[in-house]
Amino acid sequence: MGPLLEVKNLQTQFVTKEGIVRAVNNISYELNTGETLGIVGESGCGKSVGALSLLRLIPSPPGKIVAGEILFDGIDLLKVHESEIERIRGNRIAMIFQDPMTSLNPMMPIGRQISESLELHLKMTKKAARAKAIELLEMVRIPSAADRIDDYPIQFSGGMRQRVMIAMALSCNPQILIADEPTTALDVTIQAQITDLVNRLREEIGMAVIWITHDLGVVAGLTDRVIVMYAGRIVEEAPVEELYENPRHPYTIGLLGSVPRLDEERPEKLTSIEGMPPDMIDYPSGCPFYARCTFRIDRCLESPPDLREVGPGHKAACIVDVTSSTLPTSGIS
Amino acid sequence: MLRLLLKRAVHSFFLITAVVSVVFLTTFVIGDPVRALLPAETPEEIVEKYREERGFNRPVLVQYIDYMSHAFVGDFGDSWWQRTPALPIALRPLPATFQLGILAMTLATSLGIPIGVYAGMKPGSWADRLATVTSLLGVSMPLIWLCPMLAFIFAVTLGLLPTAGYGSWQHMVLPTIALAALPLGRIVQITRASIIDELVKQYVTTARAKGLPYRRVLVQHVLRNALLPVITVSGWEFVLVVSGYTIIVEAVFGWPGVGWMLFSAIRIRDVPLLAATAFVIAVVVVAINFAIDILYIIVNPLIRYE
Repeated sequence: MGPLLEVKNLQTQFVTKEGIVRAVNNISYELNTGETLGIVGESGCGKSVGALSLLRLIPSPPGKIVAGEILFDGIDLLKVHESEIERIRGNRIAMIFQDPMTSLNPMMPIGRQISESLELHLKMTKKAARAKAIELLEMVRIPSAADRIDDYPIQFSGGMRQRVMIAMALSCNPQILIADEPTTALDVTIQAQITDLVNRLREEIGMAVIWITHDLGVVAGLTDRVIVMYAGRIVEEAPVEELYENPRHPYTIGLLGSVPRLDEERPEKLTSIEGMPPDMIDYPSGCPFYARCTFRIDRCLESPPDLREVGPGHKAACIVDVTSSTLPTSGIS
Repeated sequence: MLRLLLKRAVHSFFLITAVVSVVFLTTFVIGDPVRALLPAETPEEIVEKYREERGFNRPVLVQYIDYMSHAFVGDFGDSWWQRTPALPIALRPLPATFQLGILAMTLATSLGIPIGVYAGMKPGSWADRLATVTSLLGVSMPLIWLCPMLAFIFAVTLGLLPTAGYGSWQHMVLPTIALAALPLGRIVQITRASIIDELVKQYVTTARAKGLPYRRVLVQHVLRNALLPVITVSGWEFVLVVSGYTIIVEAVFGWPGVGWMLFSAIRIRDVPLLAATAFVIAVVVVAINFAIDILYIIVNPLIRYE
């Protein structure tokens, strides 16, 4: 059996007055049934645009998916008719978003926002959908769900609204849940509750999860496999433990060096990555990380490096064989 | 919610009191009502006699209290022109104004909202540009120019419609178009801006991610949010239509409404009638605002939690 979702050479761009923004550049990855995949990267690296592209939710114009294939259950989501992808959205692939304060319609009771999906995809009657919505709110642990079903989003806290979003996303038992930084806007204690909740429900429903975040800490405890993105490209892909133990891309090494770890006896000094990500309009012709890389050599400028196998299930897009113990090249100033 | 309405009612009472006070101040204190009433060459003794007879020589504060206590029960004195109580005369043209005002607002909203929604859905398209330019034209045409132009083109040159008057539906066409032009333009602009604002909000993406077709997202999610500012603006425009625009439109087209009455009262210097008409307009303005508040509460359930 092949993978549940297969992304091949996806490219998404935005046309702006200043020029074409190359938000997602030729990314390919797979997602297996029931698997949790983490996509990590800093703001603007294309991780959210990449996720929205999966469901063709890029605002167009100015956005456009210019190339690639997204194979889900044997069909290419980029080729099917709009009505076909509407049958998949919220039904077989659902999505939750970063800011729970703005993700819900402020003028519609939360119960209605949940039952809407049920009526649409599962052809439930209004009454049955309402009963199911209460059940879903109980599943995400909203206290006295039956009394709160007609409340408006304004009457809920941020964490509660994210629970409502999750209830909404899981209403039709999706095969894939795309979680686009769902905990970023929440307090740390609430973050843990939300990640635990998604994890528990994932096991119950048996769905696959794509968890997008800039927080390596969240990824460590939650995912099976991690993709690291930089400037719209995948720079490294590895099973989660392997990535933490043996990062093979200079960017990943830099990222891990900037995260405090509790499991080491004498914590090392935290480091930061100097410089800024490249201009996404005037995109560099060589390796996009060149300007900030401590391991760079002249050959890096020739062309953007492709992902290559560096270990079992482990790929990195770097022509230099680096590990966390490699010393930086002396040639940089 | 009831408290909100009660607060509004108290607010409205003070507003109307203020309007009547200002009318009193400008007509009886700053102006000289007796000189306004009598011919210019009247001898001084007669002017004084008149002043005494009608109590205009009393201290201003006494006159004010006397005036307000009568105004409070709807007594603005007799019209100098018709010699009967002024308020009933001022009320008589109200239905004619509402007839025109409601027709114009119905036209403006039923055309303006769909045009604004369509333009807002496709900003930058040729349809949007057409709507933007036309609405700009609508809001920037002075009525004092538009009314005679309409009369000149459709009545004088083409002879399709009567130039002025009251009675048949043909008489209503030109004044309605003139009255609707400004509100229509403004409703198109605000609806378009509001739709553009709403469509980029995150909840729209959420609704799309649920699998709802675009049309359903627009109707079930976006419209309700987007129409709130449109309701507010339409309310203001309705107020302006019946209390401001009609004065010009009714004067030009000879429509026997409140604006025409106000215009006539000024022309014939009938001070009590002028005061009564101003009072009627103030009450209408307050009443419309009240109705808009109630409509807003019905459409926006969140007002209860704010």
